[in-house]
Amino acid sequence: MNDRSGVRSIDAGAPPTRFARGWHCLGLAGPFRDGSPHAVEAFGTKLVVFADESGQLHVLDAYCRHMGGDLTRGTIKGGSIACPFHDWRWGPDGKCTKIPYSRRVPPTARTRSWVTLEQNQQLFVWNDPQGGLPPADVTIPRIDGAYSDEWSNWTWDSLTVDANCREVVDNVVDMAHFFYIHYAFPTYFRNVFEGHIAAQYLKTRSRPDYEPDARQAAGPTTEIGLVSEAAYYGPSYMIDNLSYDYHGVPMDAVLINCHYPVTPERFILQWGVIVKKLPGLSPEQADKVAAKFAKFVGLGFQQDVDIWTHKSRIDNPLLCADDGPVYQLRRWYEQFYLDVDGIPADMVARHEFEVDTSRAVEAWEAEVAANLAARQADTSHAGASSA
Amino acid sequence: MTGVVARPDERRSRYCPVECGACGAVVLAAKFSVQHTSVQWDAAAVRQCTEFARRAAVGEQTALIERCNAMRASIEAAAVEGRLPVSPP
Repeated sequence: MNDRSGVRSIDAGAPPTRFARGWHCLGLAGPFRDGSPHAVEAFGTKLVVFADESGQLHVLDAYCRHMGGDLTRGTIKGGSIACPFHDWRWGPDGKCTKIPYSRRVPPTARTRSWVTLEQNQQLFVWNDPQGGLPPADVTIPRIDGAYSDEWSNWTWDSLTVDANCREVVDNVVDMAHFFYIHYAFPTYFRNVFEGHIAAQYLKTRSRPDYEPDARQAAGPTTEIGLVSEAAYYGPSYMIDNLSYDYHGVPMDAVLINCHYPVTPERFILQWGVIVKKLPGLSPEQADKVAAKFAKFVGLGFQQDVDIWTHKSRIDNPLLCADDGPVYQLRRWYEQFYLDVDGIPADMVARHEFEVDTSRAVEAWEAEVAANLAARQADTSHAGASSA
Repeated sequence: MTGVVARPDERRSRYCPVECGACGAVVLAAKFSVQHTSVQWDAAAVRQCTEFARRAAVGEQTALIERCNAMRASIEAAAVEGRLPVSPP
């Protein structure tokens, strides 16, 4: 990878030409049930999401196979989506159900319907470039808190990111960026990849040098910090079970970090939070706590996005001893871009990787101490001049 | 052609087979330092692991089990006894 003068070159590669096989979350299900069709740009095309009379959500290709009209600008009529151009009606299974001005529907009139799933109050679509159906063993797991009165409602936010979605997946193994990008202080970092699941076990301390900052205000606030057990279920949906200290009170939260691709070089990043209600907290107060935590997470993602949209794609990262298993993660991630029968056994075999954080902790403790000392000096100086 | 290429980790990892003292499952392990550990399992080893089997029997997914404690102990013992080199990449 180094040239004759010993200089390392970047192999930027190119984003995959197809989209990952797997369940992709399109967002909270509720807002899609407002009686109108919804447009979602995803997988290099446009989709229409609509609810039938029973409230069941369906997803079809947005462009009418008749003359290309945009079904997302149409109306829902009797459980079918009606095209605004000539009123052709398309049913949940993609079959044309009615053409009011014609004596007969062409028997082959069928558009693409997408397999959907509702889980955790969220809507998912199954993408498979081979056209296969979703196997039961890769389904999206149920989050009990999402169905419990003891937990808050979901927050939900999204950002459009002009980069390939591998950038967000890489975060699974990126121990050091938590310090530099997210003002956290990792002390324990471990990954396990097996089958379609990629897990991250993380413990962080808070950053006293950033704590009074507004950015940190809704995050972990004491040395107890945060314990996170996160896992991707397939290529794009991560459930992160978090325990953190909120002004001296232990909090349990679930963070969803998910995305779907728009094109090979654009994706929609989404995140949602629920928190377990503390005793004596009203539902509204619990929702506020969740919103504060979601805001903290969102600020972190905005900083990620700033990095992603300015960085180079890199297929040959130069790693040091104390980096995580970037190559092993990418080997795991590649399974979703291969035909099912072309996935080698080692791509889905169990791999464990525990990062040695001792050197990082030592260096970061020194950096935090220096930041605190500098601030102390600033404060005394400011105090002296105002006196 | 998908545009994706799986590449090997360029860091020199001296993977050595380690046999679990509890169940005999064999994995490949590497250590860059005393704290760092990298463990490559194959499907047969995961099936053989009695700790995973016990937990899978009560409904857990092995992918969500952080580690097998017996295997970890066997890897640490191999490192202490010099059968598994602790060597920076």
